[in-house]
Amino acid sequence: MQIIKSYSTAGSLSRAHRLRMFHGERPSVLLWRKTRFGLPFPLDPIDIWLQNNISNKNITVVDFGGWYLENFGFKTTCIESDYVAKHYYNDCYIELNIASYRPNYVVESNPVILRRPACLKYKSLDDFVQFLDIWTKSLLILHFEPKTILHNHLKFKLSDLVKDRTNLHIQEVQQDLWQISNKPCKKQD
Amino acid sequence: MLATRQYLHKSEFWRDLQVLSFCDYDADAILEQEKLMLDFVCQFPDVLWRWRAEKGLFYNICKEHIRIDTQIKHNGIIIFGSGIAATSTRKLVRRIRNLVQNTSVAYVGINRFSLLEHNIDFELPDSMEQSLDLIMEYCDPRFKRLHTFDKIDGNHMAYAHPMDCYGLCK
Repeated sequence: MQIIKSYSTAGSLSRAHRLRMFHGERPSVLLWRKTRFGLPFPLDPIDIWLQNNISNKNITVVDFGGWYLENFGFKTTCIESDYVAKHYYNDCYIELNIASYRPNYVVESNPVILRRPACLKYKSLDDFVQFLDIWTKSLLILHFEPKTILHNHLKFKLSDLVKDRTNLHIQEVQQDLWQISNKPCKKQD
Repeated sequence: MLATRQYLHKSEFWRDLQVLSFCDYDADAILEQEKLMLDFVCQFPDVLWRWRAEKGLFYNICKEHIRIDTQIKHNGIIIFGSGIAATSTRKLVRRIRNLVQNTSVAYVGINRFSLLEHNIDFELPDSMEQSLDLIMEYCDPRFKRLHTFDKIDGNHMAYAHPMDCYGLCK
């Protein structure tokens, strides 16, 4: 009987499944593809929040197929963790270790945006804090599910645990949308 | 191979989609946490088990090792996945107590990420593992954790089979 001890070390994945995973983690890519046939891209409430609240339009979008924001007034530097992304958007950079490495070409003053980042799923609290410290140079916008960071979510609020461990300024716009800065954030309306 | 591909397209089970996605897998491939379950339930060859979970490929594998009862004569129960979808600790405890009350043995796998709220009147310890242990002890003091994993693996296996699994032997 074959026992699979670890997903990441069990062997290579089929190409079809890699593609399925890529799209599962980046639903925006299929929506963006449909715009080639004339359909409008359906912005969700987070996209609209970004449009209304990010004043610096030069942004770095990380691992969510965020190049669609080019069509909405942003100029993007796009970083992805999967080479599949190159098939759709050749200008993106591929970085395999996003959780613990911030490339030097990312301009420090540009806001960095992550949505549903697969690279943070099931990370320990220490790894998550390390990620925030590494990536927050000016402004980091993080749209994610806090309970997927390993902590006792039945007892503690993730933001309280993180605030105890870092000097970063964290504003919870809503439970799954954090605005993180190395200086106090402006209060949103 | 064709049969597998057809199954992969038809399957609605996350677990099967993940396991079948490996380029080199055996037909009887199972996850480490599923092996824990099999090892536990196979200790009781005389028990008739009731199956309260998804009926995918793992169910077919288990049917070859244990006796699964489709009537109401069971004296053991296997619960995980959709068989125990609960979003609060109170609901979880109530469901588990109801399901195990007339059985002599039980296997229960808890998906910690489906629990959103603790609403029973006792304080939880700081660690998630200890909290779940306490909640299961509250269901029945004879529940024992079968294993503690060092980490949750990757982005996918957490939803394939729970890594917080417990055995009950009355």
